[in-house]
Amino acid sequence: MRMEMRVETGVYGLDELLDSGFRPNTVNVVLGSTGTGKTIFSLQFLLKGLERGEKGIFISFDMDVKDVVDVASAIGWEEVEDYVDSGMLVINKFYAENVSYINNDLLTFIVSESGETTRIAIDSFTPLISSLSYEMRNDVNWFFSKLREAGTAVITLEEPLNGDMSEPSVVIPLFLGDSVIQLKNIGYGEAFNRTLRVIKHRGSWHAEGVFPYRILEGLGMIVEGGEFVESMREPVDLNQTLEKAGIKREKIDKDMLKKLQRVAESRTARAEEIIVNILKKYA
Amino acid sequence: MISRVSFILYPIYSDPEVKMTALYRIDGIPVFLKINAPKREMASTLYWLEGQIKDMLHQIFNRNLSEASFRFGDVRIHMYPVSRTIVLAIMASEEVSMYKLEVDVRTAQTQLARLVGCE
Repeated sequence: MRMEMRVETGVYGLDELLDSGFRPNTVNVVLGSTGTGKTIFSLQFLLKGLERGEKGIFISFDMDVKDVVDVASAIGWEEVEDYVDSGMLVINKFYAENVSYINNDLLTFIVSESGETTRIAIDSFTPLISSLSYEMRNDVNWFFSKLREAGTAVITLEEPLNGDMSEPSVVIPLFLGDSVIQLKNIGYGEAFNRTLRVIKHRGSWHAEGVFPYRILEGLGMIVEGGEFVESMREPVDLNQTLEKAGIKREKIDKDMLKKLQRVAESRTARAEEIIVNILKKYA
Repeated sequence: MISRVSFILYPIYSDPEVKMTALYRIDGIPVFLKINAPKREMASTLYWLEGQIKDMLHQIFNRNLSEASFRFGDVRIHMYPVSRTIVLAIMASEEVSMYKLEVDVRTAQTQLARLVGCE
């Protein structure tokens, strides 16, 4: 069984959809239009790390320390102020017009403030790259690689209200991020109006589908549906599967066997059926 | 939530003549989907549905329709609004017992409306 360390997201119910959380030293993109809870997601992610003694860095282009502390207090996270006072959580407001483009000041700040294990939140990344063109993909890639060196990051992206997702300022971070989580809120106040979807999670299993979420005072964001996904993920014993299918292990190519073992361990839904079908066709 | 939706819709999707049971949101996103047929067989119909769903949902909500049905090859697609933003879509073969389906849908509609109608 492969074991890999994961970074818990702090969002209730989300880790189950990401195979236990984010991968360490990754850049994770949270995409959503206004009012979907991107800032709460970022704070919740940092808070989880702070509770575990990890350092937190919050970068904003709209909010200063007082604004962030106020938002956190409104949810019921008064301890955020204590973390700021103790220096465990560093909040800095940068001015997008001065930064104009990914610059060294921002990176120097992140690197100088990061500790052994650090969580970084940039809320939102959009003002930083709003004037981006496709040619600047390499620069964003470089910036992301530096973020990965500094810790595990969540960056939020504003989904354009006109729904045009082809803009470089949206597309490039989506392509380059290690995971992408999309938040939607259609705003009628019904149970399925706020939904979360994991678009990608590089190098890891993730749940497919649309999952309802709520934002509650005290707890923050809660995603539902994890138990349903978990119930679909049956562990597979490859030896038993081979026996049932009447196929001898020795007759299967070593590389193929290795691949099938990975599928069996992944606990993918209907893995047994997939393995049997592949064996029938290729073994 | 999804487990409860699945439980409510079980009498519908457990019918072997029902090929697909889904809850579509007004923006065309399927928030629940259960397919009872090989995905390859369903692919073309689902692609078609994906392309049409937004317009269909707007028709249902704007004209206040209690039901809409479409014949697509040898299957029928039935759509029933369950709340202000959610529609229950069922794809069934011609052999399905419409009486049983109607009864199951009415029961599910009431339960779903209570469940998803408001937070």
